[in-house]
Amino acid sequence: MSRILRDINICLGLLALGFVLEVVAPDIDLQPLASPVSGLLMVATLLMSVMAYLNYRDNAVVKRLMSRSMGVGIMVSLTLLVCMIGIIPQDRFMQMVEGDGLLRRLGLFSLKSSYPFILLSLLMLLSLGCVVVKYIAVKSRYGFIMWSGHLGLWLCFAAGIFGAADYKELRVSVGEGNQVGMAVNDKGQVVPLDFMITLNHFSVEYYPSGGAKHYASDVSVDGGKRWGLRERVIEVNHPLRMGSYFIYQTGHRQEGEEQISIFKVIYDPYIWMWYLGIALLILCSLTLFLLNFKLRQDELG
Amino acid sequence: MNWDSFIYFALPSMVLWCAGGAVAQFGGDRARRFIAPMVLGGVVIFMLFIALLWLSLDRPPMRTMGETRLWYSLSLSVVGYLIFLRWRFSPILLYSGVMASIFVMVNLLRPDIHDQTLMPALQSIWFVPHVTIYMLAYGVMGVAFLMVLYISFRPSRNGALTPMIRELNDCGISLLIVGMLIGAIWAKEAWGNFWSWDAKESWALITAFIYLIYMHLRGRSTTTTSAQRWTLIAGFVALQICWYGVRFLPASQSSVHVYG
Repeated sequence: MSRILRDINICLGLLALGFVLEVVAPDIDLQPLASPVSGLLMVATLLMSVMAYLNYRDNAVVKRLMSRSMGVGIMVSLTLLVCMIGIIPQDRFMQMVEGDGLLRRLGLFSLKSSYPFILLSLLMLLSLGCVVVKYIAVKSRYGFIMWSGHLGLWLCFAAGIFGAADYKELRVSVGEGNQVGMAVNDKGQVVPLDFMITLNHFSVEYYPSGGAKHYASDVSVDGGKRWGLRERVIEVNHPLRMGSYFIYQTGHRQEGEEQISIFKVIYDPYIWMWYLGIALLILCSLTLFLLNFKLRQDELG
Repeated sequence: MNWDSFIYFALPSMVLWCAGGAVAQFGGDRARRFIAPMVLGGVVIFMLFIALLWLSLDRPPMRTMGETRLWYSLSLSVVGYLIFLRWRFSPILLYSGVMASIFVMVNLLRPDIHDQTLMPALQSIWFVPHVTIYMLAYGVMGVAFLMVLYISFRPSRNGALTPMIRELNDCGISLLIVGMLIGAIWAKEAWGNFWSWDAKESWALITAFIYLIYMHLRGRSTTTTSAQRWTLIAGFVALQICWYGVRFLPASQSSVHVYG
């Protein structure tokens, strides 16, 4: 128990350090970390874990990094941080309302991109990386459950943290029969798209109570030489994919006689990591569920 | 079929679940033969109502808080019976029957509006698996919580019941994580993000983290220590916040998951 308390204290200390950094060096600019830097950082983090386990697995720090007590410490600290995210509104509107108060300076309205979150996530990635290498290297009967779950979590967190600088979310509004090649980003700036969207037809169906039951856009997307011309119906839950771009139907509005369809364009080059991570986590959970009654804790190690 | 008919299905189900639990706890050998027909009879009647409601609404009855309570009651009674079958632990049937009945009573006393509308984002193949897996997980964790309370008041049974708590937690966390990830895949298809730190999502992650903390804490211990017990209690509290308490938090102002 004392080891667990010690590691919880270490992680809480890291959390406190993160909040101090928020005050002294606010507003992290993620742009310099965009691809290819993000990819290199990701590989470097993974290599650090592999090298740490292969060369220094008997070192006290590496042992601690792979220990269950460190896992508890990281999760307790992350739980506290996520509790704050789950209680305090995290949108820009609240930041503007609160002005320049202490809560804003501590980054409490933008915790998901704050130093405490990034520092804890990096520690978790290092810890998870070492645990994954350990369970792959040390063969045990149910080792698959251990490394697949930890690797799945590593992939999802790494995609979220390192992919943040590359991730783009754009808005496009287009009227029936019109073509657009520009979008609005999250800062309100108009930016060019890598393709042209033409709205051929928009249809909407309502419930008798007035709520929208179904709406869809028949579009032609001209991706030039790279993706060619795509003709498809985009509707909620059925986006159109073009490489790392995804076009989503998010809403619609009427302007006079004209129907305006609203799309969200997402650029996410690390999406494969998300899907791989999720697949591994589901596989790990299902294996744990099905083998639950046969597993013994000493076999899990 | 409409919500007014619920009482004709709810009352027999509650009576059968509680009677089955009472017989398991206090009945003699001859009476115990009726445990399975009683509990499963209640389950079948309750499932019949859900199936008829599904047909009449022309959509899965999983949208409103009252509708999720239906699935929770069903899940509690089924999980309670499965645990009774596996460990022959008699008190669980009475506990799960009473707990399921409490949620049925809430629906009887405070019926929600159950109209046929289903917003476009909910018209997804992930809707039914996401909600049913989550409700099953809630049921498993609800029963695990009852066991934790039981050993809190009867510490002499701690060692004997710890394997059961452990297995329930492993089943529950597996279901919670699969349910959460199915939700993430669905969110990606509907809104473009796997994870948007919506208040509901945050509390789902908090719940999963707390149960994972328990998994890391327990190690090879053969009894449920005080720290493990409090972690499981905290996990259950977080689960309740995630399910319905989140709507009372400031962060839920912009949540797309808070439903009525």
